[in-house]
Amino acid sequence: MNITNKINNLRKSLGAEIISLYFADKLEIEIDKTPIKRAPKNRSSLRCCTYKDRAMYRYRLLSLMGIDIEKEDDEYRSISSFAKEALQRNQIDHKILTVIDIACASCQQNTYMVTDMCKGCVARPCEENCPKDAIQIINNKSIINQDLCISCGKCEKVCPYNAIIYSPVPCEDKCPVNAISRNPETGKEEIDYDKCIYCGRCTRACPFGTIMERSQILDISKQLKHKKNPVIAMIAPSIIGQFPGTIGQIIYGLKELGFDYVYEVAVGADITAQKEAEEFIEKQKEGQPILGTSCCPAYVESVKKHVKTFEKYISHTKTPMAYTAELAKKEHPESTTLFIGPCIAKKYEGTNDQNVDYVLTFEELSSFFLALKIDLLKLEEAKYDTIDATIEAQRFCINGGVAAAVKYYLNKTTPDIEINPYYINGLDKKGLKQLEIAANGKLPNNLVECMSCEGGCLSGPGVIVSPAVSARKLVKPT
Amino acid sequence: MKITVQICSGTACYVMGGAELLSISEHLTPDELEQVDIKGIMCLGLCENYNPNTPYVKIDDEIIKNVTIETLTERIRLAIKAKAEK
Repeated sequence: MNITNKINNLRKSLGAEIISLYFADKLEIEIDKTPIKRAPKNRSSLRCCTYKDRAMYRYRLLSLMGIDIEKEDDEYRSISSFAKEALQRNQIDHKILTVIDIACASCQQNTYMVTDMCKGCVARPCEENCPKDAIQIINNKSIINQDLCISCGKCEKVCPYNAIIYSPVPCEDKCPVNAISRNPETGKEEIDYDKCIYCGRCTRACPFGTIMERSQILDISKQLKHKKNPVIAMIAPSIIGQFPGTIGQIIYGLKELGFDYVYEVAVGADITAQKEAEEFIEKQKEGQPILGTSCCPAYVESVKKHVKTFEKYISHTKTPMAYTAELAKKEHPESTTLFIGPCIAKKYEGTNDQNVDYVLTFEELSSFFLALKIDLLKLEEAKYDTIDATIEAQRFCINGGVAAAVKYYLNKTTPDIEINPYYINGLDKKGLKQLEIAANGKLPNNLVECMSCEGGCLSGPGVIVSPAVSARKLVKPT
Repeated sequence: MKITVQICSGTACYVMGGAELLSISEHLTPDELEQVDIKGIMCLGLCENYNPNTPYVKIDDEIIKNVTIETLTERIRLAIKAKAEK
């Protein structure tokens, strides 16, 4: 789907509504009116009827307030009572996603289907090319026997009339680890958290917006409004191009929102790259054939859950977020830290890192700017409260960027060691297989750079702007 | 006189899809590009209360809402054609 679509924009605007009501001290009084205001009586509905629309708004608001819908679906309760509960919470738990079951359209299984465009031709390339003999011609029409079909897609490619189509279940189709599937009893999709790697693709793949993040926007609003301690925003390198104006204006905008300090996570990326280069040399000396990068949390989780043989090859170096948070807590021990990036898996990583208090996506940050009516182009410029990061570290967010930064630091100390990276650009089933091959020592390379999102963090699920637009603003290495 | 295409780059328009419009020059032919003057502009002030009509673009004096790269390309072509017919 295009990055600009109604579901993505709805999340931003509903998030903004929650934040602005909270800052106006009206959240608990007004929030129950939102579904009705958004889906008034005499307007055409997005779904079957106005009432379903309103129910959907309710659940979307709940997930944006961080409620676990699967667990706490009490229809007797008002949205307001959930808001009250959300505002009392002081901790974030590991379950970062939630499924709105009534939003799920119960899509048919991933299948290839023959449409009415089939002319029952004489050449019959579909029948000829099917490796499983799953295609039969009955009454001059091609028919796929779904029990035999292995969804290889050969018939679709060879049909001269484009009469065969692939009809996916979008969430299942995009999940690289088969963690989401249809519960046969309810007909609704469910996430298996023993398999889920938190890559977040399902959240953006579903055109009904069924899978939602449990957002921390309210927790952060609370920190910003009733401040006891300094609040620090840590900004991922992929911020580039996500908002209008310059980086300086975005930093100024964050300070207008109430953040006391703004840290550049690329500073942490410099530490990651440097330490990973040192670890690389060490492992090479020890005779370890290959080292896997460690900064992408969805890929690290996929290794832990699905390619255990590769786990020992993953670098022990911490992520840029972890080093930046460490620095923030060292410089301001009483502070609350918030990572802002393109990533949903970082929310999970954040729950496991005591230095990271909260995690937001760029999309969620946009809700803050919208709610507090901050027009970035009109602002002055401010600087990061951290030292300057290298261009290499700022390019951590694109495919090839991590390996290049490790190489940069390696060249500084030990130029005689050759680095030969293998890139997994967008983790899919093939990528998982490659990791297995790497673990078996059958790759000629000595470094694996893996990014769960194709194109790197600039294509993360939490971005606002497509990578084709944002990548243009990235500084080129000299 | 060139046709002016002003893409609203206020925060609301930008994050609701306006950012994508900034690549419009890639969707026009060199001939068409000669006839238009494309620029990002400050907030037009039309985005109150999360209205669903963002992003906005102004082509000469006409304001268009809910703009996508496809509709913008089409509108620019129409404007060029209309001007040629005048």
